Amino acid sequence: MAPRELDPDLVALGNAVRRVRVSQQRSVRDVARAAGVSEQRLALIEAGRCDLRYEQLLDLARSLDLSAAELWRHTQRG
Amino acid sequence: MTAVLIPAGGVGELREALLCLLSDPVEGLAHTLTVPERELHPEWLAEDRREFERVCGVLDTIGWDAATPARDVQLDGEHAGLLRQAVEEYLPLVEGWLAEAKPQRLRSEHRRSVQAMWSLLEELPGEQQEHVGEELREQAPGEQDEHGPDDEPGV
Repeated sequence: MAPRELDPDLVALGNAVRRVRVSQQRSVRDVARAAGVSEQRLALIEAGRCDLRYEQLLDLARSLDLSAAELWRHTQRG
Repeated sequence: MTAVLIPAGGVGELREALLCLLSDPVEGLAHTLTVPERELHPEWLAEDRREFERVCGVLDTIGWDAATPARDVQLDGEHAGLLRQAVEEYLPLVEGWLAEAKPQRLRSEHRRSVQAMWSLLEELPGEQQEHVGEELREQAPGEQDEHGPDDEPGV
């Protein structure tokens, strides 16, 4: 199975999630639990390797105490 | 083709690596199902279906349940490439956790995982990676980190 090419938008989202999580001094485990996903899933999201469903994006934003719009803005900050 | 032996100590990491790898065909299938005229082209699903079944087949063999006591597992050599890919893609995630982990307990846990995966990669047929985890290179021989403080935030 050939590795999939990374989508730049998903990479930007993953970077934003990681940046926010680290700035909040929170662990992968903590945020993953709050978002209702496995640590591996969150790690894949942060690596830009997951295309999130909308509901999961909302849960993830909430777990970081952000709205989806705020999380989106973080992706624009590079 | 020569069979591949997965030692009991590496089965847990391999399981997690395969579960991560499973997300690729799943997302591929989900994407294809959104494309117009997909009903006319079942062949668009074929590769992801095949990979999904293949990864599930290996998970069936090694066991899906992490609570099951680990045992050595022998797999058909035809899966070697798949196993290597799973571990190579999962390894950077765990190395990232290791780099980030503050509590010593978690550092030890992640370090054991990373070491188990490198051991697996050494056992699997195929090209060896040049890369060696920074954390493992930094660790002095005989370094003990099992009894450190466990009061900082970390992975």
